[in-house]
Amino acid sequence: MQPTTEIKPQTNLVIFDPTVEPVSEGFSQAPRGGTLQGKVVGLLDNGKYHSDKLLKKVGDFLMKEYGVHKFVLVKKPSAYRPAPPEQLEELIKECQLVVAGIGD
Amino acid sequence: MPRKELLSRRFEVKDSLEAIEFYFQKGWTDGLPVVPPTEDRIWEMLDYVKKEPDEIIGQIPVRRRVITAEKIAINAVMAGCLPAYMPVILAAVEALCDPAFSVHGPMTSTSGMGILLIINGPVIQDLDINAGENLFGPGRRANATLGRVIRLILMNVCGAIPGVLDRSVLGHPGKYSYCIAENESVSPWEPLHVEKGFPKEISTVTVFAGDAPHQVYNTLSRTPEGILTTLADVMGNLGRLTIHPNGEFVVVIGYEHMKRIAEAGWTKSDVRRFLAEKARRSIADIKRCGRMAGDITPEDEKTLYPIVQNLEDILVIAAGGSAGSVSACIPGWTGIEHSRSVTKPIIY
Amino acid sequence: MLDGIALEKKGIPSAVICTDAFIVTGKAMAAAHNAADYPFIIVKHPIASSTDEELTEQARMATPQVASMLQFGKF
Repeated sequence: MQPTTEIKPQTNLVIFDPTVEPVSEGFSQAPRGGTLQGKVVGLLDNGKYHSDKLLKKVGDFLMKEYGVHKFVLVKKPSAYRPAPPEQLEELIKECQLVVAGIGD
Repeated sequence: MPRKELLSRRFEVKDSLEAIEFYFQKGWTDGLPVVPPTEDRIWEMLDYVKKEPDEIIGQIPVRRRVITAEKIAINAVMAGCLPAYMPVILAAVEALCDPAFSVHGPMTSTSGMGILLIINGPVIQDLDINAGENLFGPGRRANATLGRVIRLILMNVCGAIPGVLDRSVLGHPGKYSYCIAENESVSPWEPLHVEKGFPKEISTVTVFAGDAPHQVYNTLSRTPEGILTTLADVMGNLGRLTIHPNGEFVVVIGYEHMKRIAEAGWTKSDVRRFLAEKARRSIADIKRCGRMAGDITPEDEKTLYPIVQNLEDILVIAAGGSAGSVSACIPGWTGIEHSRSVTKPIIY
Repeated sequence: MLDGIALEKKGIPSAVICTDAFIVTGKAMAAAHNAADYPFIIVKHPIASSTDEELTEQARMATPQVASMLQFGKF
């Protein structure tokens, strides 16, 4: 391999990177309790067509097969934006777990 | 005062041609050659607007992207912009980052929206921005490179990489460059920025997430009603992105149409009122083609579904060449609760 | 994706569901938030034009993974 410094006449051109990397803080998952028995599950519907139906069906299965006590379905105002913080706060007052979707 | 250093990674290449090839290989272009961003050129951009490299111009929190003056300047050089265009670019970036515009949605969506820039005010003359012949077409540096730099910023800075965070199925040619100006010098109407509450002598840029322009022809009609009925028909077509009552539209009225409509004494408000009233489809029509769920009831045949609910959601622009009976309709992206046009002043 | 990540940060165990057409996009968004390895449950694209029976089948397939994600943070 040729060292890059080999040909370095005065006419070399220095150019710059136009891109940006995301800047983000750390992430770790919430601690898990290991059981779904008696839990209230929030279903966060992003509003995409049929998302509510699919989430409700998942909610039904969770109740029937995993002992989930009940589910609460809420719809985001826009599928293209994060849920408003107040909506999340409201949801987690009642629910210990959340299923969000459906990205489609 | 000692100058701050540029913060971006540097690369060394032999010459400009090798630099152009380097950016292709890195995937940092829109598919066309770029002007190599050298230190001097980047500083010319920054100096024109008196910005330090690390000054934050905008942020896209959902993508965790921070847009600094330096990154804008680098992409502006690459797009072929002049330093004098920088005030327009900064205003456009501020508009993109406005929560009401919410650029993440339209730049990701499968619907393939372009970001249309509409320029108003004295800056149109000062920067030689095209408001006339071949409005959406090639030939004018300001329009071509201002539209282009916005796309490069979306790709390089905001992560709008096709197939990853730009999921356009088809996209459209306006995604390369999409920048027009209103033909204020020939229009008898209030320009867009004045309608939005800015003084006439202030310049502005409006960002709008838009589909491709759909041209509307009508040579024979000599009345506003005739011309605008053809426009309303295009606005109400069943194939548009969303059958949604909260849509936003840009309507570009070409010169000949503008003259006929204005000679009849109609203002932009009259145009909007007529279009909002006429751009409707029966619910039965919408259901028949599967754009709305449910069985068709007898009432559906008679019930007209409005395409636009708020008159201000039709942005009327007078622009285009002087000969030919052509206007255009640009449907916006989904509904205004997801993204709506934003206008920002250009400080220069 | 972002809602799931936001809820996890608030201490709420969550499960995100996404269709297979958007795996790349979901991963890119998770990565932007420093959560590149955050698992999400995949169903078949598109759900918008699915019948009721198809949706039931998709839910039946997805539920064990959703349950595992909520209980153990993986599946």
